[in-house]
Amino acid sequence: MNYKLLPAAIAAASVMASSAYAGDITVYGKVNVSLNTVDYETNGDDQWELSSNASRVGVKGSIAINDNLKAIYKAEYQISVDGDDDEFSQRNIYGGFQGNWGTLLAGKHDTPTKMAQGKVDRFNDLDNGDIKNIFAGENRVNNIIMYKTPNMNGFSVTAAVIPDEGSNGDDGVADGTSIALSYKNETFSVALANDNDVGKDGERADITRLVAEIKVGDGKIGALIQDGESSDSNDDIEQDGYLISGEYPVGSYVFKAQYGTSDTEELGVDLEATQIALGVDYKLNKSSKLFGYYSNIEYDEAGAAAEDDIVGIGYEIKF
Amino acid sequence: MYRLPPYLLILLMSLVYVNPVIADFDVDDADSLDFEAFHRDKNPDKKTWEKKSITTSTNKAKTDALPLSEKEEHQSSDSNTGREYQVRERYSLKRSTETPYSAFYVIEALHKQMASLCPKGWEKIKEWSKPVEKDFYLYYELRCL
Repeated sequence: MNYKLLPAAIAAASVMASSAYAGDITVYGKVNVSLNTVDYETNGDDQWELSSNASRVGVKGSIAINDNLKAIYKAEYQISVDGDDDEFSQRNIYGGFQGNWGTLLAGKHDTPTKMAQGKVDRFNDLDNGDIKNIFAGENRVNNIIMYKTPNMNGFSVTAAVIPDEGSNGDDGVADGTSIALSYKNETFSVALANDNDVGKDGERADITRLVAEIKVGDGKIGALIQDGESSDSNDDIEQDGYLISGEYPVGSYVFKAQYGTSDTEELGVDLEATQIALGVDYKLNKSSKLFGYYSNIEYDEAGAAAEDDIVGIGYEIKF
Repeated sequence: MYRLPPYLLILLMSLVYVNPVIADFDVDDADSLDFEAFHRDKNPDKKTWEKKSITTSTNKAKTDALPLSEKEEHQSSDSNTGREYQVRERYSLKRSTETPYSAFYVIEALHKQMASLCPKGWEKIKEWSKPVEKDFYLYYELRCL
């Protein structure tokens, strides 16, 4: 099927389904666009750019099977609002079941380790702001089968297996695994996650990530600590790092700050990446905001330093 | 293969979207370990109560509104004839940081609640509005046919 036709087919199916019984169907998404001025020493870019910042549109729904079981589905696509990339690219797409025993899904999805970051990444999806610029482990993988337990007094476990379908000679059902143990209450959340042999071919890694966030007054403070290495010992890559972030609301404004650093050692060569980011959101209403941010990432590889800077202003509308 | 023109794609998407559905979720929740909550109705301002007869210590019967759980809402059936409910939704008459919905919009949402509670139809007993912070709650009281 033409890849670009798929979202249209889903939408059309939703229209048709809405006239018959098909459970709950919701079209949702967000548009997040920013005008950025970038000065990247790593690739020489020094210009104004319009960015889509992972804008997306999706269809989600559920169909009740009985009182304790419903089928769930979601098809979400990243959309290129600025037109620089393909109109649609695949994000999390799955089908599954949900009941008082938990949630089971299969498809393409963020790993539990990636999701463990929660809202600690204050500049998620923003150019030069997202923690993927300095940390490994931000994986959305194909062929994932994931289960999450029900909430047990604040505790829950999310576990996923990823069959490699023959790549690298792996033919099992759990060639890659990703597991997160999390606890959450009204003021505090913590998650401990582990990836084993997860990532794209040639970039698979074993990663342990610890994330915590606490509310302090009206504000929030978060931290992330991570340690990992390449799954293939022949690659000889190791990375560790940490991140601290916070936000504080003042009226309709939310002020945000983030500092993170990682140290990657590959074949004996050190690469240190350090991010400092500052930003402010202005809430227009519950579903839209204006924002501005500055992010600097300094890369230092074997004594040779380069800095990437970005300043952006933008808006976000959720629907 | 025939490629769908972009305008037709947008039209199809909008046909779905104009079917009034209130976004009772934060789209970013789907990217967290709370991803399963993306399939739950989480609008904290949407409430349903069933009015039940309560006998007081003086044996004088009166009615009171008791909260109805989400499970009970979903179990509403044809046997609801004669039952009375109160339902509410939050709306705003101006820009609000708490709700994006206008009075017009929540009427649709209330009708969806009422249709779920009373599959055979309903009659409206009362309608009223109460301020909450800078917004309002719109209440309907109804009796199932």
